[in-house]
Amino acid sequence: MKVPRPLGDELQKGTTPLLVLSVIGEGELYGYEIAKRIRERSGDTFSPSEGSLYPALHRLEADGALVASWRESERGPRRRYYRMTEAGQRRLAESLDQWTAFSAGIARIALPEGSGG
Amino acid sequence: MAEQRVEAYLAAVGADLRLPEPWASEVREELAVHLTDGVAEGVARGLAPDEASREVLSRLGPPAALARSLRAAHQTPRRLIAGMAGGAVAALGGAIRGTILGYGLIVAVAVLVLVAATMLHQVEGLELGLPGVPSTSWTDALAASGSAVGALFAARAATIVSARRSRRGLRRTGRWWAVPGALLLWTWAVLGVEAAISWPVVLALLAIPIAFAAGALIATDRTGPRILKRHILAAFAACVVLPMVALLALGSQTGSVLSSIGHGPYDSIEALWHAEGLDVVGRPAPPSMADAFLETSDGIEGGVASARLELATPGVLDGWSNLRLEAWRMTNDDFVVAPGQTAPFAAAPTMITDGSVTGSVDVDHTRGVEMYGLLLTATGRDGSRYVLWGPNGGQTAFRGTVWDWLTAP
Repeated sequence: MKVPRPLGDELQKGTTPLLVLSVIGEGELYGYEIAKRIRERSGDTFSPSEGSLYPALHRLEADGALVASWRESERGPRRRYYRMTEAGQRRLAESLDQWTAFSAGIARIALPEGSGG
Repeated sequence: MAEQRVEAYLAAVGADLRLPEPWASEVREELAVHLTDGVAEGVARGLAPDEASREVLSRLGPPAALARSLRAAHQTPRRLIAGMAGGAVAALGGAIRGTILGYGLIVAVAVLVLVAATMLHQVEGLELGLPGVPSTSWTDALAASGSAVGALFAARAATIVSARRSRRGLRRTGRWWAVPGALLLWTWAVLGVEAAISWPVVLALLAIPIAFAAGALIATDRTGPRILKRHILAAFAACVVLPMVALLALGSQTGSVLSSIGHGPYDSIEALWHAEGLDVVGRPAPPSMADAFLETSDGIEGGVASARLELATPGVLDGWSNLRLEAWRMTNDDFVVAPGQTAPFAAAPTMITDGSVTGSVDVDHTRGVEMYGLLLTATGRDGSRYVLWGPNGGQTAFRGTVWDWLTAP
C-alpha cells in the first residue's frame, strides 16, 4: 500500500483548526493528546509541525470556539484541557461543509470521471 | 542534556513571546508539559532521552516562529479593540478617583500652608505672597492641579486595563496611551482652557499632559498598599482637622495685627503724588482743573475697563491735547503705581461725545497684572503730561488660554 506523503506546511496550517475541532469534539483533551490523535488517526499524513497546534488552540480559544482549564492529572504535572463550546460546534459544522465542498471541487477538477484515480 | 535542551527551547520561546503575565507563564507551562510527554513517549518507543527530546522539539519547530504564532494568537484585533474600549472606560474611572484624591491632597496642603502662613505672620510679622498671581487665579491653579492628579490615575488605569485585555506588555501599551493622550491633553490645556491665567495656572495646566504621560509610562501591575478606612480618617485628621483647629485658634488673635495697616497723612500734594508713585505717570493737574468733571463713572466688563467723565463746561479741556485713558499696574495693598513701572500696560485715546470724555482699555490681556489703575492724562500747553483724573480701578487677572498667556506682551 502506498503511504501518502505528509501535507505541506501551508495546507496543514489552514486545516489545523478543523482537525483540532474535530478531535476535541469527541471530548476534553490536552495539547499533547490532541497532537497524538491527529497524528495517529491520519496515518501520519498529518505529522504536524506541532508548532501550529498551540497557536491554533489559543486562537480558537480567543474566538470563543474552545474553553480551556487547568486540571491536575492523575500522573505528572497539571495540564491544560480544552473543551468545545457551542460556538465551536457551529464553527466545526461550517468548516466541515466548506471542506466537503472544497475537496469535492478539487476532486472534480483533478480527478475527472473515468480517470481511474 | 535532554533537559537542558528543553529548558533552552522554552527560554527561547519565552524571550520572543512578549505576552504579559499570567499568559506568558501559562504558555511556558503548557509547552513544558507537551515536551515532557513527548520525551516520555519517545523513550517508551526505545529512543534515548536525548534523541527523544530532539524529535519532539523538531515537531514544535523553531522557537522564534512558535513564539510569534502564539503571540499573534493571543493578541487578536478583537482583544485590541476590547483593550482600547476597556482602557477608555478605566481612564474615566481613574480620572474621577484621581481628581477626588487630587483635590483632597490640595485642600490638605492648602490648609497646611495657610496655617504656616498665619503662624509666620503672627510670630514674625511676615506676609506670604507670590507676586503677579491674582487671588482669582489660585482657584484655577488648584483645579488644574487636581486634574493633573486625575490625569495620572486615568493614564495608569487605562494602561493596566488595556494591557490586560489586549494581552500586550505594559510598557508598550503605556507608550500607546502616553503619546496620543499627552498630545491631546496638551492641546486642550494650552489652547482649549480659558481661565484666569497666571504662572501657577500655566504650570498646573502643563502638568496635566505630563502627569498623563507619566501615569501611562510608569504603570505597573503591582497593587499599592491596602488603604483602610482608619488610614483615611487618620490622614483627614492630620491634614485637615488639626490644621483647621490651629487656624481657628490663631485666627482669633490676628485682628490687631491686620487693623494696624494704614496711610498718610501727607504734608503736600507733591508728597501724596510721590507716595502714590504717580511721578512716573505725569504731573498733578493744576488747581484750575479741580472741578473740570462733574460726574465720573468707571468699571470693568469682560476684561475691558472704561471710564466716562462728564465735563463741567464745554470748553474746560481747551488747551489740552492728546487725551488718553491709561491703565497702570498698581500694588495690591496700597493701590499705588507699582514700583518699577515706566509706562502704562494699556492705553487708548479718548473721545468727547455728549459733553463727556469716554474711553476704554483692555486690562485682562497683560501678564502678571493683579490690580489696575485707570487714569486720564493729557498734554498741557507747556508740553508736559498731566494726570487729569484717577487713579481708579480694581482687581483684574489675565484671561485667556495658556497660549495667549505665553505669547502675550
